[in-house]
Amino acid sequence: MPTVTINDRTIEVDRGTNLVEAAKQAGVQIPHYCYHPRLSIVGQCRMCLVQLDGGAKLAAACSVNVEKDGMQVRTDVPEVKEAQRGMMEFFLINHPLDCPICDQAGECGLQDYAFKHGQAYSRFQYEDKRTYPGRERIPLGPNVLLNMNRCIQCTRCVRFTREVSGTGELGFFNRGARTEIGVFPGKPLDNPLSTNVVDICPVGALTSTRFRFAERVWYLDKRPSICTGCDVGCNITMEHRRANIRRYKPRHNEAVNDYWMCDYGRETFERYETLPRLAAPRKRQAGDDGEMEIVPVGWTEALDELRERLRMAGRSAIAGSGNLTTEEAWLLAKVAAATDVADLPLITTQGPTRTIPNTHGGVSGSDAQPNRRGAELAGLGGDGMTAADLLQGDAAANLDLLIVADSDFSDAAHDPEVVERLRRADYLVVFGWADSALARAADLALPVATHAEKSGTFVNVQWRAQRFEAAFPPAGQIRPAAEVLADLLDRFEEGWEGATLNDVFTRMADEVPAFAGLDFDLPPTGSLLNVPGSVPNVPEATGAGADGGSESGTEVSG
Amino acid sequence: MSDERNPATQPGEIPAGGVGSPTGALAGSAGSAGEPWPATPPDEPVLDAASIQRIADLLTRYPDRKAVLIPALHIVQRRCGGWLPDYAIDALSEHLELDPAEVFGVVTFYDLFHQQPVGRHRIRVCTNLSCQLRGSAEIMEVLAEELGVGEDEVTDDGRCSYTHFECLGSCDTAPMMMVNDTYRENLTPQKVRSLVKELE
Amino acid sequence: MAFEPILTRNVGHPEARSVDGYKKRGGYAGLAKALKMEPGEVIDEVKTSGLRGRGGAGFPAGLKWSFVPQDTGKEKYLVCNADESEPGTFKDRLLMEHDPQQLIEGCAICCYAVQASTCYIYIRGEYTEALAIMEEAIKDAYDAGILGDNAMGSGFRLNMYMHAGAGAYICGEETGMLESLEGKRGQPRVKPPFPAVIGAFGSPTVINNVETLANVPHIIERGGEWFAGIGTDERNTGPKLYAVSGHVERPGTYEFPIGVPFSELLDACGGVWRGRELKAYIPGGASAAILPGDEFYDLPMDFDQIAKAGSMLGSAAVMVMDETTCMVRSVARLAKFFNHESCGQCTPCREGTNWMELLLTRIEKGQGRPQDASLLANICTHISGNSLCALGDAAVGPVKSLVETYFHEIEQHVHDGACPYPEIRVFSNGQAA
Repeated sequence: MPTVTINDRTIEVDRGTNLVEAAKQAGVQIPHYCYHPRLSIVGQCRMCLVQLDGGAKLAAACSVNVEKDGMQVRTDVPEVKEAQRGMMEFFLINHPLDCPICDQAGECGLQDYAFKHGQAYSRFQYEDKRTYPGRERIPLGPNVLLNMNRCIQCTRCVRFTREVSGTGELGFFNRGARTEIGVFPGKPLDNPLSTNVVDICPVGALTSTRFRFAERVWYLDKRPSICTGCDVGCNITMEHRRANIRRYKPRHNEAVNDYWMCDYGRETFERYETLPRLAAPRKRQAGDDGEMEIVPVGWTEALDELRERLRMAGRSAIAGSGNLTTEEAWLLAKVAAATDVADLPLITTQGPTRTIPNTHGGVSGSDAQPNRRGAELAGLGGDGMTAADLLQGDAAANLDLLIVADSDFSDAAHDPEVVERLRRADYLVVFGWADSALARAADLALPVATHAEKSGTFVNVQWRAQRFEAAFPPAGQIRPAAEVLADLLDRFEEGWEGATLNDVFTRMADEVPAFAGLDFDLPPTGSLLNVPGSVPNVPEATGAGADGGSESGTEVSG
Repeated sequence: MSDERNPATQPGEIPAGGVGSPTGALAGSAGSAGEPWPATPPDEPVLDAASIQRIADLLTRYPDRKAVLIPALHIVQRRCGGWLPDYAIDALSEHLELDPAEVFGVVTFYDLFHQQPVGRHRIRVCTNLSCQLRGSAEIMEVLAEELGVGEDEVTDDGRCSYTHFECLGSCDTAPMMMVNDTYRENLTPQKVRSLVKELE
Repeated sequence: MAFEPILTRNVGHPEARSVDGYKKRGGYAGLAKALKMEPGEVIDEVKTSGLRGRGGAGFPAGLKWSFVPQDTGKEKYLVCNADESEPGTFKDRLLMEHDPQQLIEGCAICCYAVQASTCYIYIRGEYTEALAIMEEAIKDAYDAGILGDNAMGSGFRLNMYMHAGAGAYICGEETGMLESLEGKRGQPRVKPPFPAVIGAFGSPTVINNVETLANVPHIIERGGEWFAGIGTDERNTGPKLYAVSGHVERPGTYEFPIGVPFSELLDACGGVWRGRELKAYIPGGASAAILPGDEFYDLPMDFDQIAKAGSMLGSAAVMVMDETTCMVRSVARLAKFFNHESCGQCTPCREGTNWMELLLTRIEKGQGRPQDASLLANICTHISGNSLCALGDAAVGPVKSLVETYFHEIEQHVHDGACPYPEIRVFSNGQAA
């Protein structure tokens, strides 16, 4: 392994490592725009100029791979700083002063490098800035908007559509100072990965139509999480302001989604913002006038009621879904075992196949839910009553007690026909975050957290267990379902009171063979389970993991 | 049977490299000789049998399909009377199995490809240093006067358009200009006036 | 001793355009001899000759050929650079229009030396006449068995094709040319890898200028040592075509041994026109520093001596300027050229050439500010050495030279608030017919 010395720090790197990456390993940030670890090297922006082996002519670090031993690199010499200053000036002379109205402000490559490497005054005083009249807000496709005045011609977006999405909608037109990016008339930027170009654009030239003017990024609290749109389980950063989620961005995980996520996944949080929230436990009971009415109850009363119903019930079923976390599903199965409930129908949904490219062939998933596999491993589904029996058949009519553990298990939970069928059970209990038609029909409705408000583990299409953490706590009376279920279970078995997620996971790992040997603290890139068919030989490479960095912005290989 | 519009290419001959014969006689086929094609697609296909054959012959010269793009664009531009409407670019992209955005990127990069209609006669006046020193500005003035339109505009009868250009490699005969495929050298205002009058 | 033309010997003899006519005038003796030598020997002979590239860079041709790896199993290519878009340059056009077989012979010898079986002659799209003449000459060469599966009966397979460009100066840059040949935008590539290793279509490729290759038949026929005996010294050898334009009586292409003094060249052109005085000249194309006429009147025009004078021989495009010429206006026009031709990939060139054109235009119009000259100089330092290809450095050449040598003209524009020189009026006083 050759050594390379960057600003007097000597490290060893794999032969062929790109110098920008090698510098990162040595703790030195070489500024760059056009370089991206997943795109071809073009050496265009000239921000990464460094002094190589004391040479008089600076070299573009992105165009250099560490091959020979003993290369000496300096970024702290006046020549390099002068070059950086010069490049920043060149970038800014034709750049519009849009910061007050530009979405990128606060996460902008020009702002960041101008501050670090540029100069504080302009010498472009008596000339007119180059503009692209009529191209200040051009929709390139349904999800991406272009402001060509802001573009710094780094060509990341064009290379993305050629090399990563393979769809080639974007092109580089004209020449010289008039160069612009665009699409061929009639062939818009319309592929499932299109919004990724917004992530990799260092400036506000490409912006997301969904996020346009939505929020100033410095108000956003950024938390690592997992997307729930399908079973690929892209690692995301959930960005919220005071518990209102504003945006999902992909989070780097080389083993799963690399630097990317699909457009559909980005909109899945909107559900949490638009559907009415089940806010407090509710019970249906006979009022003074004999009419059935819905009244709020406290958690203790609610769970005591549920305990009684479970004891009394002859035929019961507990329906879970692929939206549940593995811990929740496992606790449900424990409750069923403790109360002799034999039927655990698992409601799952299929969706279109979604494919995310990565460095080892990409990942494809076709479940519309994030955790069918986790739920199955935890003991839901199996023989006995099926979801079809329940949703399309008449199985509910024969039940004394039906517990549906997800009020938003699919579109069917909002379908009056399905709700009516489920309502035929004598006593209907619904857990969920959404105040859906199903929740409103329930005898007992228990409000639980969305996946933004709780921690848990999902098992994705690769049989990889991935942990996500709460981005913000649930409001008011809402509780994480795992907590509620442990509370309920404690009414049947000793030792569950106050159980933490760690307790639950550890006990699950003891009892479920697929999870055997796993520590509660999963590695940042997740852990492949011991299940036949789990994806072999996937490099457990370093990703950004749970440190909140989105790494698809401007600085540092983003 | 040889193509009468292109006397330089006979069956069995090595096909032209892309720009065409010395007589500059390759013209578009729609309307009268040299009439530019319209902005909306006409009934005739952009790629007729002759064009497709020429492109196929050219393909044998290169190990990679994409290399035939610029020669093919020259062929298509000729067919469309000197410019490249969007539908022509689309048709060629499809024929060569390339992304239209990429082909459009190539078209817009080069000065000899036009995305706007041009006159039947396209005049390019060199105004680089050696020609500037020998009076190219005056040549541009004469053209503006004679044609009655500005640079990059087409005369009302569709006859002529003109533009300034960079060095055309004829600095010893400055000032000079290119009319269609022919260099017109050692210009004077009078020569320019009579040249323009001859253009139909 | 009168200099016998070498490269231009067939100018005025249109029969030499055909293989028969060319052979009758002594042509193809070089190729015949080369095909009996070892390829390595051919390269050595070219090395001995000291031939330096005639396209502008002046890189030793034999050395470039020797960079092509011997046994790769990959197809190898020669790309002849006939893009000739450097302002003031028109010598390659002369060679192609008047002696196409000489170029074909030179390309064939080069292909044999590096064992390339395909040669593309990339010619600028505007040279329609030269293209037609070359195509006919190539067809004749195929018919005569010079080209094809069995070049001159030697068993060496050689195909040669013309490939027309579409109007972009940057396609004269070697990797820009390769990109354009491959059907893409002519945007130069990051180097390394160099074309000799990865060039056209991913294969080892030699790229040489038309004039460079036109010298090769003569080198092989008469020997590298003979060639090295022409010119100034062992680093500046052979005949050179000087394309002279601008304010001279007889602009044109003149062949001299390399290193001819400027004064002699000017005499051959009939001196400065209209009886005017020489002000300055550009010795080698738009990126060469401007040389004041009085100081450099006798300068020998070879690579090293012009470099020592602070300029470059480049493509030997000599542009002469008389006393009525405004240097600011001239450099502004060159800045406009570079801005127009910049491919737009890299930041310093894309933005820098744009800025320089704007600045110089403003100064020329009389709206210059006192700090503009130092601003121009500073912009030049930010571009130099930092651009992806040499166009950035080229664009800096004339601007730097203006600031260093003609600072007083900038000052005058700023001070007067107007250009102190008259508008260029060549025809209005009825001088020309």
